[in-house]
Amino acid sequence: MKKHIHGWQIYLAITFILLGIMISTQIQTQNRLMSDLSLQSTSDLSIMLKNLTDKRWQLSEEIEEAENNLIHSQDDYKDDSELMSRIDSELERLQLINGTIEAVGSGISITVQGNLLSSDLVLLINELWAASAEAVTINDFRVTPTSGIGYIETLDKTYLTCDGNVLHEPITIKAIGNGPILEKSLTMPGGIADNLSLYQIYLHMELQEEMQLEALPTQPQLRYGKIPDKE
Amino acid sequence: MKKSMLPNWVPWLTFLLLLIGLFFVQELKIQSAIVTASADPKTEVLISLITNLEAETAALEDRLASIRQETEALIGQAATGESQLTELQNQLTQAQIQAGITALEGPGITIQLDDNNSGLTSSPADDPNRYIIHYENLLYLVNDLRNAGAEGISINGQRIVVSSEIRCVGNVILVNTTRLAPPFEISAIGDPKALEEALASSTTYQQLSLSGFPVSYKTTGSHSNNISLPAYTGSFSTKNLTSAAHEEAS
Repeated sequence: MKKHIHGWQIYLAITFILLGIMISTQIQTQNRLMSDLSLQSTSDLSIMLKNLTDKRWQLSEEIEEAENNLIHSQDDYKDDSELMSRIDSELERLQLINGTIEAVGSGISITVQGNLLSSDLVLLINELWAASAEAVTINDFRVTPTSGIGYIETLDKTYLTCDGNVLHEPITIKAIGNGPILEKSLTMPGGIADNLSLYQIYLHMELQEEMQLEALPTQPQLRYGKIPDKE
Repeated sequence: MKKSMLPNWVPWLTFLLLLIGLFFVQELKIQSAIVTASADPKTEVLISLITNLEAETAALEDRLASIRQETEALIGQAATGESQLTELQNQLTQAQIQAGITALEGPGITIQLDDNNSGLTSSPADDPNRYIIHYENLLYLVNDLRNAGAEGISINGQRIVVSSEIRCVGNVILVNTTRLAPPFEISAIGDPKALEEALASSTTYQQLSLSGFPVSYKTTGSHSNNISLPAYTGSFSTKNLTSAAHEEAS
């Protein structure tokens, strides 16, 4: 039996097609709006430019140093003691980065007054790394590549933890790096210090000419990860 | 008086046409904003500088990775048969693995996250920020995975190292100063069961899931392939950092 199509059904179908096209365009535009550089403000673009410029300089410096090391290592190929001293120096640099040896340097110490949440502490530490901190401790517990911040609850109180270690108050964070830059990154208007102060949490900062940061008490061992076999 | 009878489909069509009109106005507004922003010569200069710098830093990262590989190969060659040198080389390799400057593979978990596009579509007048993945979501998830013992993590191919920052500038998410766009894939190596449990108790993951964000995860089983993480190709700032042992000696 032949079915009769009404005129309104055609109009409705066209309208639905139009609606589909509009929605899909809208989503595409919205996605573009979120990440396209041309839609970011001039001040945001300037921040990105500055970050990238810093990154380029840092990379150039490390490449220069690594190239020098490589050239000298090639020269020292037959002189074990020279080569060992170069490996030793690179090993020490990585141990400092990994937090497996004690570190000394200038920077900033921050004492937190108020009830900090674990998410606040995660943001605070992240902010310090973003401002090029080179080594960080929380209550003398070194922050390492695998460090996690959490909390444990007792009957009467909740404590923050760093790698499972309880952080008793007051929480003191030490960060080696460019002290004034670290301070500025926390205290800029609308920054983390401003946000925390809304919840009666205050950061007392002090620039330090020299401070010592504890090392991780035990050497970390990987149980699951390994270097892929070379093909 | 005779009551006018409208066919059933008329109110529906009117409603749909109104909806189309709403989308059209919204689209016009956005397009006009795009044109205005693109027309700003200062913005154009900044974008061009950023694009060039991104290409330059990517090339520098490749160069640094290749120098690291050459040095490693050279030390490996020199250390053959030398027990003291071999021992030192092993320590160096361990330190490189911990620092994240070598690729890493092993069992673990892969999390997929994307913006909530369907939520945004059904509520076009709502604040779009409620429907996008924010840098805090990624940061907290990384912290949750670390608490569950993750030994290595990457986000969209960017290896997370000790000094990796996850932040946003405007609406752009940056990891290791590299721009990342959704969908996001977080890969972590560690005990798959512990990592899976961490997601089950992760406030961030559960909130995203309950708010309609398309989030999912997959763990490696005994039969599935391992997860591979790329090496970190960026630099580490150590200008102000000295070993305490050195300081005491001097």
